[in-house]
Amino acid sequence: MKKKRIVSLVACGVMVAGAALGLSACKKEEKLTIWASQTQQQLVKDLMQDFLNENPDFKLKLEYGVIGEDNAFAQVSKDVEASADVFGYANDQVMNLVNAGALARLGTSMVDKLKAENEVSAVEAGKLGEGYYGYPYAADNGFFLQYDASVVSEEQAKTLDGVLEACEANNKVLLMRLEGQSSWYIGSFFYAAGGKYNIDWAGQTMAKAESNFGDYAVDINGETSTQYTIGQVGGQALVDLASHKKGFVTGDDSVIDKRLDAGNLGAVITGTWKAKKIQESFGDNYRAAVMPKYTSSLDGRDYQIKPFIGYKLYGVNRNSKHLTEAHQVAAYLTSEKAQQKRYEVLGTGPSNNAVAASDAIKNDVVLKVINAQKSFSIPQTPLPSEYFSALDAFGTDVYNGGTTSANLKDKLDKLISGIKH
Amino acid sequence: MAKKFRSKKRVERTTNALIYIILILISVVWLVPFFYLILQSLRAGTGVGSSSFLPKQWTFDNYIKLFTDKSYFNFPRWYGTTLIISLFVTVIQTVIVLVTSYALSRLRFKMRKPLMNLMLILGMFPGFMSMTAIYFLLKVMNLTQDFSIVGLILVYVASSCMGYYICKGFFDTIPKSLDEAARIDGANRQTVFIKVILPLAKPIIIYTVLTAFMAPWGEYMFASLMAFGNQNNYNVAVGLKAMLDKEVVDVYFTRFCAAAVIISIPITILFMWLQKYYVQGVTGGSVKG
Repeated sequence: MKKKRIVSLVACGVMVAGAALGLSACKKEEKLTIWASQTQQQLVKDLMQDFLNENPDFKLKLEYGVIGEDNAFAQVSKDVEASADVFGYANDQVMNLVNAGALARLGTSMVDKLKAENEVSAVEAGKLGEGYYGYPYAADNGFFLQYDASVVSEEQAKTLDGVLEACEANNKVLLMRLEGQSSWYIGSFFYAAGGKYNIDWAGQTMAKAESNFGDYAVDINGETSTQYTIGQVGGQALVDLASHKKGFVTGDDSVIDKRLDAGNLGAVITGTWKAKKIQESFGDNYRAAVMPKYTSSLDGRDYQIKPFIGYKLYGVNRNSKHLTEAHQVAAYLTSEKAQQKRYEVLGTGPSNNAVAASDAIKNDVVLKVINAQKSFSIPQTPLPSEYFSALDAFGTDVYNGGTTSANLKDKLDKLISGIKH
Repeated sequence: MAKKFRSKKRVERTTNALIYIILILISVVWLVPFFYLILQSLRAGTGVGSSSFLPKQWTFDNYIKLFTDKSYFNFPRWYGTTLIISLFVTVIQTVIVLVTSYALSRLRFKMRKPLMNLMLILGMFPGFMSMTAIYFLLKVMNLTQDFSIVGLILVYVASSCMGYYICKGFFDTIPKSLDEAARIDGANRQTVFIKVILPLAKPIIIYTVLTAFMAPWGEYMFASLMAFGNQNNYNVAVGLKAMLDKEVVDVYFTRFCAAAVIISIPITILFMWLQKYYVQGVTGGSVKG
């Protein structure tokens, strides 16, 4: 009996060991994995085919994974070593990615070359501390005003009041996210009055970060107010916006779809990714414009709303077994030729100067606006979670009527202390 | 004192009416999401939301395109993958659970109680707590990414013997006298299990099959971690989540709804088919007179 038991135990052990050995024996082929977003899959495959034709010596087997630029860190953080050798990411994740040990640093000569060929701020978007960690390929992640020309005139689109007036007169609405996850949008109202968010870096981590919303506001002509702070001007503008019960609504992307479907949208302030859908709905009347100015009800002066501008880059995994090849591939995927093709196929706004200067882009209804806006846009650098949570809460409170002109000062103090890191 | 008496019938009618109103309200709340999903899956056009509950234009395209348009998402493949995983898990898990339950119900051995206690305690930890550890173990064995399907089956099946409670409870209700009678007639443990216990345990087998099939069918957490961006090895839950990504959701939302409807089909069929046996098994007796 005992013997039988031992025999079966041994047999079991052999089976398990055999299975494990057998599986790990299917040795991985030498390969290079590239992660790109869903929409870029085909494009990346086509580009890599060209790459292989141009580099017949390239022997690694290419594999592709689908991870969007906005999810890069979420995925990479699970297992850095198993992550792709080359992957796309949005520039606000650069700090997290570098600290997770996921990004390889670029050589100085490469950085110089990139700076010469690309918009400098796009290259800077991949910078952390002293190092540069990415090859930029897109410079179009921002928000702007999109409107129906049969409702809003070009002149009216220049000011927020004009847009609201036009919408109200035509029984339509202006939509912008003000409650919930609205921080990405509403920060622009404070930046309008000279707001800044200053981060002190200690190497690659944030030592301290705070806003200057308590300083005096600066208007569109560069004149500093002696009476009102940045917070007051920006906050009051948001309170005023929320008070337009007839002409203004808040909402996320699904609300935009619903409103478009119902046909009562006059204008929308939202991001590049929604442009196609809105264009479809407005048809020939679709217009895009730079973010409007607002006139402060406090001092009657004008302030230019300053939206974020975000970049996308391809980074190389520091843990890659084939660093040289990975850098080669990342550089190819962001080259002038690749960016040209990416614009033609997907309409992505390039960071490459030569491509950006082409006639096609100068006439592109959306990219034209994004580029025009760049003169005053705020590059979206890594921001601490306090920034988003405090502004989200402020916007929600404004929308729900909890913040009014009367108690604005107290609420702003709360915002300013909440936004500190 | 002039107290007004109501007839019994009238009181009954008002209470019934009240009960029905409450029940109808509850069922509306419960059913609206399902109807919404089905209606959205039949809507023509793009976008996440629509202004009306009923589609303005009806179409069956979303279902057709789900299976024909593989430019972005290979839904049929995900569906097949999930089905394979679920079927494997169903078979293996059912066998393991039944065998474990039988052993713990009928056999008496020294470690029986400690083993049951151990499983009880282990079962109290949520499965995802060990997720990272399991992931790295499987990675060493090369069972993630390219071979994630095998890895997933292992993960789902691994702790299945711990789900023995209900099954053991059922076995305990089958009189031991049946076992003993069979043993006297010369049957060994295995024969008793297969020829005597199992035929009497139909309802619990069905129950085990159903739960074993459903768990991997809609599982997301492990599946997304194991596939690690390798879209060929997604299961339906992970794949469907990919359809909701910001950059594609405008076009794919209605198809997402169609996919959700299609995913519910196997479970519905399984339930409708097995329910008959389930009820029969529960009501049928084992020891006569």
